[in-house]
Amino acid sequence: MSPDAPPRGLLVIAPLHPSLAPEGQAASAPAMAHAVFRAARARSAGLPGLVPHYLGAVPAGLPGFVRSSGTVLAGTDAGATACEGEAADETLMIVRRHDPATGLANGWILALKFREFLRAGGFDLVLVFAGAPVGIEFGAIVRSVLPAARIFEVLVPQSVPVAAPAEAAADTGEGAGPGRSAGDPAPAAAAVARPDLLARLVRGELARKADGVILLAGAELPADLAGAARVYRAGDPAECLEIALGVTPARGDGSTLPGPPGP
Amino acid sequence: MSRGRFLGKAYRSWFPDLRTNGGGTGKAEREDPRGQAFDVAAHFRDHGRAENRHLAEPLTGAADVVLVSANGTLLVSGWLDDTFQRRSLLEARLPKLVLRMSWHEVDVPPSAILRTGRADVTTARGLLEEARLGFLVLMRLPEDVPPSDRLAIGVRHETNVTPLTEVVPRIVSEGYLVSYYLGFFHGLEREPHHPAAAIKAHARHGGALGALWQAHLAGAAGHTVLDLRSRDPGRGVAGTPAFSAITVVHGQVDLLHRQCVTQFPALAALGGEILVVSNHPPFHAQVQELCRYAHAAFDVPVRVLAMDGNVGFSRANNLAAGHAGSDRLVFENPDVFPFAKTDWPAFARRIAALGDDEIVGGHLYFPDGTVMHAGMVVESDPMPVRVRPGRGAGPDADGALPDPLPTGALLREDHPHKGAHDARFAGLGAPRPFPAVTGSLILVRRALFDALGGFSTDYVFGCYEDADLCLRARAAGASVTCDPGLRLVHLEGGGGGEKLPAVRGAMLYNRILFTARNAGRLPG
Repeated sequence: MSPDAPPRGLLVIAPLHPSLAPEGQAASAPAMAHAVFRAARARSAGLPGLVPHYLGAVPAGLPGFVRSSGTVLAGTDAGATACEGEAADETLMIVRRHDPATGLANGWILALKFREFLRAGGFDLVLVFAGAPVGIEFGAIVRSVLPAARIFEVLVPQSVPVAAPAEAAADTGEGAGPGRSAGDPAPAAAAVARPDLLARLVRGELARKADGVILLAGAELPADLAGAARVYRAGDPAECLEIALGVTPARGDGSTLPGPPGP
Repeated sequence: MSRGRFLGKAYRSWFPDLRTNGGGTGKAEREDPRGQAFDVAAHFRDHGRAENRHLAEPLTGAADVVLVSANGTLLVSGWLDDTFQRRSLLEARLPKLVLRMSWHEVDVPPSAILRTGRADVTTARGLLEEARLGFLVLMRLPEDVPPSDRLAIGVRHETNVTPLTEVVPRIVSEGYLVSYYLGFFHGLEREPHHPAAAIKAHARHGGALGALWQAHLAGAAGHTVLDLRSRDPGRGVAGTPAFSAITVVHGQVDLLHRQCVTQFPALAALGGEILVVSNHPPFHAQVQELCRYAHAAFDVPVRVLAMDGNVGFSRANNLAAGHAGSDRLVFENPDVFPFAKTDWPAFARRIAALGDDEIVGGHLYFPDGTVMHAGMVVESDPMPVRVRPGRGAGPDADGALPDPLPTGALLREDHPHKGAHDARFAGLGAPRPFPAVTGSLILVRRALFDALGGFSTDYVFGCYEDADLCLRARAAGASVTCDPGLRLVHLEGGGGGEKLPAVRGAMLYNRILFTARNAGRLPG
């Protein structure tokens, strides 16, 4: 990327925000995503062509969070999230009607606002961190709105809880999903325990909308994504950013998963 | 050995049609066609020994369920212990049932009565043999007999009517009555040689059920339309979509959700419009919400037709075809999805090249990659005994004679390659002709579809109407082919869970109807 190149917009979509996530989890998805965002911000200081933006997806029922009266994209100011006083390039998206069982969303107002947000941002590069309480089809929405953008799905170690959408939605019934009332038991556990060929099919189909999957250190590739997308492995957030920007050649050829890193 | 004393008077008292002519001598005679006289002792020797265990039991019966629809169709389900009146325990003689309702007396036509096995009654009555003590009546009440809240059921003996029971009928909708009857129809599968039992039921009640189904369709055809057109002004040519994809949803909103993020955006990207028919009113709001989502998230041009009731697969698709903005129709099930082998450019080319006189299907797969459908054939399953359907209900309301019911075999639509590995079709590039293709994916021009009258609405709920359409198209000179270039995943109803008894009953009912209508169209 040369200094004369046109600006490139980078959007990081992640669950929550470090200021909202539990402390002491340095490897959590919000922390890792924000680390990538800060790395991009630092890089843009010396490379003005890169314009990063952080979009934190927040379940509407998140305990302690100010409850929204509707499904909106809420811009934050410095006071709201106290994010080092630099929140102009950070946005919180309050998510309703995300179904953790299917991994899909169905709030049409949210989708509409998300499209408007993407059009206004004109992003060239989008990183969607797994675990964000948005539907897995949000990558496909990005592809629909920004057909030329590069899209990566970033996976973090699953041992670290990134969000509890089912729990967060319990008090509002947001996670009930179609065909079930809010009073019905959450189907997440049963749905996960039962092999759901269709869910894998849909997830694989949507993964093909992305340009690749980046595995951060310790993350495992889910079976449903094997063969559905090009896979890269990154040791840390900085390397993740490098792979996404295409500055550093990815380990492996990108079409197959390289072997585990050596000692 | 001493001899017992025959109780002639007591024996005679059980038979009011026996008339004595010898005072207290025990001599009796009965009016019969031959004019022969006999005494009661002789009668007992001739007839009573085999039947005397029932002598203490007068004719007994009861009605378990009595339903009346608003259009005057009556369903009575019950039992009747008339074993004494039968010559043989294994050969049913239809009793002469009489109904009294709204100050009218109505004789039930024997052709409207179906005798069935009732193991519970047989056990309770202490019978050893499996007598067919159950009965089911489905008939239209005469026009001058309105449904009322009292119904008396009796059995006619010559001029006398023995009352059996008096019940309070339940007034139900036509759709409910159709479902109830088909649930019973499904229960016939417990009968020995159930296809024969089903064919007999079809012979007796097919006409009434068909009229009932049509009455339901007429009452449930109302609908509202939610129109969500594309926001992209450059899509389509002067607002005309490249094709119209039609999906009928009946409660499978989870599948619709997944279609909204995979199938519909892909079809919209090819320039198509989506028409979704919601056939289950309790889910209308969710179906509309999901379609709003597909529209908002992926700019899918979609219209939702929310029906007043479940009008079945055929009527819903026919109705949506009438709303289609394109003359190229794509019928697809709500459990059809794209996968890695789906070639959307090939899909678009095939739709664009769709001829005026052809019906085209595709290759459908299970999620594990094995073949679900690669063309459909019609098989004939011989029955072990030749069925005598018996007297049917006669001409229908329009005066047309019903189709001759099958007697020796039942037709069945079959997917011959189901479960095969896809490698079997490697290198197969050209479409192949088949007798039929599944309604899960059908491409057809509207002119041909209209000329054929669309899917036949005589098939209740859904099943066999796709093969029926294809056979009619072939008979009219059109071609039916299966194109291996059209590849999608089909769950084959697996997403809908266990099928309800009424739906399973409808499948059997439709199979008999399909056989009656199409046996003559097939060679051999």
